Amino acid sequence: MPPSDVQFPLSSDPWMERLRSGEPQRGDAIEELRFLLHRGLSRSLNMRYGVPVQIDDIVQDALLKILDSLDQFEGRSRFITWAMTIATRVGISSLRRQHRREVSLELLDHDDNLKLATSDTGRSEASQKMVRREILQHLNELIETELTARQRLAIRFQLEEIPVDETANRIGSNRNAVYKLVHDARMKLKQGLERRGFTNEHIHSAFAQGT
Amino acid sequence: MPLSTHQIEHLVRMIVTVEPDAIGCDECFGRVAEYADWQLSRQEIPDGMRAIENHLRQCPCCRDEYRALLDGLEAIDWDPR
Repeated sequence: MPPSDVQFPLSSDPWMERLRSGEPQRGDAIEELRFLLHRGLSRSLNMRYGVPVQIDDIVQDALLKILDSLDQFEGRSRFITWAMTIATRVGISSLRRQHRREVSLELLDHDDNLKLATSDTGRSEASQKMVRREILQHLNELIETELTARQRLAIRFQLEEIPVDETANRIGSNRNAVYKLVHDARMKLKQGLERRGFTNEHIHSAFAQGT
Repeated sequence: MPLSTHQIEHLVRMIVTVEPDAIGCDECFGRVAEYADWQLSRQEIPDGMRAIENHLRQCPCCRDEYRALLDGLEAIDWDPR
């Protein structure tokens, strides 16, 4: 852990100077960085998705990306923290690609891929079931009228636990745009339900024992 | 293919837990190293970093990466080089 009196940004970080100097300083710095990335990623990635990982390959890819991106380091964090953000994304993206799930064509082809069944088999009071059914009916209407087809598809993919990066590939977009797409859809549905008189408290209460 | 009971519950959770979010994944990625250093230093997080905190609450993908980042940094043990 860093000392508690550390101040940011750290202007005395020597990494940049070493990585931009001549040999042998640059080569030594790269090998030290490789060692630290290996140590960090071994801890953070191994068994993260239930399987061992080829850390050496990920470290090599991450190292190349970090060295290509040195101009983007602004000194607002420790260098090693910044480098690890890049290495972590390289590693997790690689793991997510390996665990890519097949996406049913049925989801892609149909426009009603977010249709909610309002029949209720949960064990609860009749009045609670009635409120739940009512909320789901409103939700169906809101999904139909307030959301775009892309929003419906992106939410369905999320409910199928398909990673956002994979969703982005499938719908020809990028991770940032897919996040915004889904976030905006969630806001629309929440606001729509509120306009129809259903607050979070109502919804929590209605779904407290499942559907 | 209709949604399962579990998926309907998940969707309802997605709706009730959503909060306005001022930034997206790209901006979060650009500033998350700074946020991690502040958090690991146990100093008070500056107000300017609250948007990162909020995004990490809202975005499961970025949150997953951030947890991995913290695990990795802990292992590195804050080598001062």
